[in-house]
Amino acid sequence: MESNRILICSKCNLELEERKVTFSYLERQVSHPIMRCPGCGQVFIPESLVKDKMMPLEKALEEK
Amino acid sequence: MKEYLKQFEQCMEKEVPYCTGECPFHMDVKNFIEKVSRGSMKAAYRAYRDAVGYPAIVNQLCDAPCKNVCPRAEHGGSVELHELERACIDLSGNVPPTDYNLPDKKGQIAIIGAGPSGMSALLRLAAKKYHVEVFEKSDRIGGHLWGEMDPDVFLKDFELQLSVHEHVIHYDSEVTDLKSLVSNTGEPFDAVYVATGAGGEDFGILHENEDPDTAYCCRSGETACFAGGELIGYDPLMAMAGGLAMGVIIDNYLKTKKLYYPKISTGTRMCSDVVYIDDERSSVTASGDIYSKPEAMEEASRCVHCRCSVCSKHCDLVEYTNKWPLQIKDEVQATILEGHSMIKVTPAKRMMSLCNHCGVCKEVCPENIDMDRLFIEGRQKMHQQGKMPWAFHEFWLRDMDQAINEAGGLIMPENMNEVSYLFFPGCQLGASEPDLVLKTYEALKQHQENTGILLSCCGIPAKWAGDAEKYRGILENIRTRWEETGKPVMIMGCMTCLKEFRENLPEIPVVTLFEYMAEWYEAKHEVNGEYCVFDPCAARNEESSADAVRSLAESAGVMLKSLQKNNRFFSCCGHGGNGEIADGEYTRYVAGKRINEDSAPYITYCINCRDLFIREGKDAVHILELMFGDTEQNKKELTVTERQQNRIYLKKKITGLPDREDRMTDKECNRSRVKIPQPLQAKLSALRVLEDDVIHTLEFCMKHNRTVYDREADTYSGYSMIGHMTLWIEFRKLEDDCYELVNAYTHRVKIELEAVWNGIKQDIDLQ
Repeated sequence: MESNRILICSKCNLELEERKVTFSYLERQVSHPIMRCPGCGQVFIPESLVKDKMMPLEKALEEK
Repeated sequence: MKEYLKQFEQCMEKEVPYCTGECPFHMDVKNFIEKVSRGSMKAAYRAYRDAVGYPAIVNQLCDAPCKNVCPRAEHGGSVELHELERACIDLSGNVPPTDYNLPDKKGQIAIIGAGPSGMSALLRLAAKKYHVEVFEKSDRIGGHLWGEMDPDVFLKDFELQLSVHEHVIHYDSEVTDLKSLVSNTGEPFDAVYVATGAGGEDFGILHENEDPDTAYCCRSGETACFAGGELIGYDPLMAMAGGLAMGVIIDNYLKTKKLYYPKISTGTRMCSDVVYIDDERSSVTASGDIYSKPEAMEEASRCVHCRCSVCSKHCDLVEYTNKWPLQIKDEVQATILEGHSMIKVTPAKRMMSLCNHCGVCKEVCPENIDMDRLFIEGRQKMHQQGKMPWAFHEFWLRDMDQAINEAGGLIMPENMNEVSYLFFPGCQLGASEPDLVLKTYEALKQHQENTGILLSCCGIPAKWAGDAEKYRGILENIRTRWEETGKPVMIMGCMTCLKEFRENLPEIPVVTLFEYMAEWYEAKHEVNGEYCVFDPCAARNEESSADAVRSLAESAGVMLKSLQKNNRFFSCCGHGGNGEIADGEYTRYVAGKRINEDSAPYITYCINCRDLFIREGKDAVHILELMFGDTEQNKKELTVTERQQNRIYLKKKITGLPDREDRMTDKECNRSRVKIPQPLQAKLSALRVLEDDVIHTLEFCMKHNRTVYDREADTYSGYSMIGHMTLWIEFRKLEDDCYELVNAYTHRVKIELEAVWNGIKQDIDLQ
């Protein structure tokens, strides 16, 4: 599972943790927990999340 | 925009079918047929009864004028509507009339004459709970029906339908003077309906005035008088329909006190040949005297529910979305209304971006409704409001900028500032087939030395993206270039560019490359085989170009056969409108329809058609390939990066610069440091991501140290914004400052910047 991978921020050398991140598209906003660096905030979005969550969301917002 | 929206008032989508138009009662035949076809005979009976008042009487009187106009007539025989109505009466049993629980109304109405028209008026007005009294000079009701049918039929029908409505009938009560009429309550009548039959007494109502809307009515003191039925020349059926109509006319009068009595209108605006029937099922013959229920259901199922379906037959978008013109108009109208997306819907965002702008809608519509222009205007409105989903068009706009700026240019023959001819190949021909453009330009120069070439784009991606200002700017630049080069004749290599020039740069003399070359070019290569010429949508009304392409193809040696639909309607290959990002499925659907029109390979004279067909597995060649003998089989689909590189290659070749200079540019140097495996190149192309975008992202991540390291896989991940798009790359570090791309993907939702997260402020290097 991609979410179980140990991911290290190159800048802070800290392990990424799951925190809430806000996204926006076509004047609307949504929030979702995302792996990110507790130091600098660098995020990591795995391809599985893009495919399973983001793409259906994008499609839905484009229909609204 | 308003003018295009207004056009839809003429749309015949909701126009009544031919049979309803012909029916004196304007019966909603589609509703009736739907009920019969699902075997709901009681519901069908009610629909029939509600339309005609007295079903048993009307069924006997009716000579089925609907049959004369039914389009089924030539496809197995007209639908036996009259027989279906008869079957309904027979099969529905004793359906009681409906009595609506309404309060009594104030008006007092007199009806003079208890013939079919008077009795029909009585039914409707009594149902509305008016106080109605009928004055009949004889001792019986029914008028001339006595001589026409079995009295049992009409007397029973009158009795049944009126059984739940209060009314008064005065027999042996001949009226001689309307003013003397007084109701049972002692009050004068508010309205009188005179239905004394053909040649009957009109009490001076007729000939009162010439206005068609009030010709059969007048005021007598406080009383409004209406004449109707056979007295005003109606036939018996129309007389009954007219009687029923009095329910509305007198009701309106009593509410508004305005005299308005239009004649019953029949007919429909539906023109012929707008309904398509593709089976020849014959009318069902009743096994007995009347249809049984299964027979009635089968006969009803033959009805094709006529409505104008021309656009759905030809417009791929209407067919694909299964949205008809009026719904499309409503959705576009809702979408372009101003307002924040949180408080209003914009349902046509995607649909507007799908239209191929082939113009076939206006071409085939009997009312010339131009949905194409509606969508273009809609796209512009969306763009103005900043609501056009950028994802649908951003790549095309970036690609257009590359074609105009990085790979564009005006190249003139040596020592010439002005030319007689200027070749404009368009932005896509050079991206797909740069060598063909080179060969063509050489041939043009050999024929006419003073021929220059303008590598650019006509700006259509900006128009399709709704950015009218940018589009105009590009056209203006072209006009300037044309003026600077001595106002030459422009030789157009792309039919879409030609169409745009004709519409927007009418002062520029243009000729299509094919028309121009057909006059003097001799093919140097013999190509055999049978082909179909696929006409691009932009070639509509360009007959001489279409002919020139055929003559060039034949002179190259091929046998031609026609494509029945495309050659007539110039249907789009699917590329038009750049809708592929909005919905790739639709593009494949349209292309699939086109390539299945004939199994023979196609000759196209638009490179976009050829590229799309090849991608979808169709054997297709561009006419220039035939002319120059470059008909290589199994051409592979180029990636978006290769296409842009082809443009650069073409420019370098024409300007005489070496294809690869001794010293690599920074860009080329960077490219050589990043290894992108072939499957990923294809993936990037499908995502409309340039390999340079990957390199940019990698450089950005490395420069700002914004990467995430995955120990297990020994890879780094990072992202950057390419326009509005977020591009993620996963890569591995190799030796000597080189990298290998492991994965790449994109998303459209934007990550709201980390600056707001957890109170931590971020560097502005995050873009």
